[in-house]
Amino acid sequence: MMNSKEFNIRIVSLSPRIYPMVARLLENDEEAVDAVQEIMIRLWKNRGKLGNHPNPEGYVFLTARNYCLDLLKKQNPAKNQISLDGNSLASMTGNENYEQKELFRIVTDIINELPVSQRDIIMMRDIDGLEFNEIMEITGTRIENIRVSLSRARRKIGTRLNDIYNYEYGTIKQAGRPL
Amino acid sequence: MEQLNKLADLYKKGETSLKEEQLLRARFGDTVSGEMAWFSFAGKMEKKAPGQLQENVLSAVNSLRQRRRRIIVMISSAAALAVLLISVLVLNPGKTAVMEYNNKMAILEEAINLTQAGDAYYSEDEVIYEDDIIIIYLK
Repeated sequence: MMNSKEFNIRIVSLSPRIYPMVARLLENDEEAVDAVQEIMIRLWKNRGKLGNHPNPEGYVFLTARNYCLDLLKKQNPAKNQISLDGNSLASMTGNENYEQKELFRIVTDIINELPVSQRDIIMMRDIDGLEFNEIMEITGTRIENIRVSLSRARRKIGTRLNDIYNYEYGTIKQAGRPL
Repeated sequence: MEQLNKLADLYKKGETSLKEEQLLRARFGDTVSGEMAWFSFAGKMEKKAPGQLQENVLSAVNSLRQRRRRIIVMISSAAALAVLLISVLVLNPGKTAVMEYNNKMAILEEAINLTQAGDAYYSEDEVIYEDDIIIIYLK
């Protein structure tokens, strides 16, 4: 069984790393602080399992995600998918200019069009900063397959952003042309 | 710039490390149009943990540990250590799942009589065994 010292070094030290994912899922920074604390207490109570786990760090992220999903389900039983609508708005400070607000709207729409697995993976990697072995533990998918899904999601987002902005730029140029 | 483009290609293939991805975000974080605007969005969406989070979590976990009444045993001799460790191994829940709680405590108390036990202060560096019932530390 993992002792106190090992638990503090290996598990509690992950608190700042699980926070971004917890805050994103719960869409509430204060609630996220309490949730991280509760997740760590659960892990301490369950440290027998943690000590024998082949990927304890990954297990921490899995526990954190499951905790958040359970909480969200309790708060809103009808919600069975994580969309980005509330998250994007919650992340805005109010000081963004028109271009930034427009970008947020566009990217949110693109992400919500992605298949759920690709959306989850790109959010975990590019927004929450998870390592591949941590995503592997959460999704139960092999790292090679995670890389493939991530690559597809990144390419789709890149292509769509280029299309949208090139189209808009083209429209502006055309509109400025003399008849 | 050529190096950044190579890195961006690897990024699209899902072959960059988190550190390399941070470099791309630092370079393209202010872009608000085209494919590189993704880095601006990702940077804005990222949540930063409050500064004292880890300390607060640590104190919450520590206070939970202290609330649980446990037997803390200080070992000062090798013989006592051997007796205690054998007792603890006998009490191993994996091997003695069906052993009555009273029997377990009787064996443990017999072993503890050979040592010094109580709510003593100890450093985590001195702990040689720990489970839900007992903490053994070496002085």
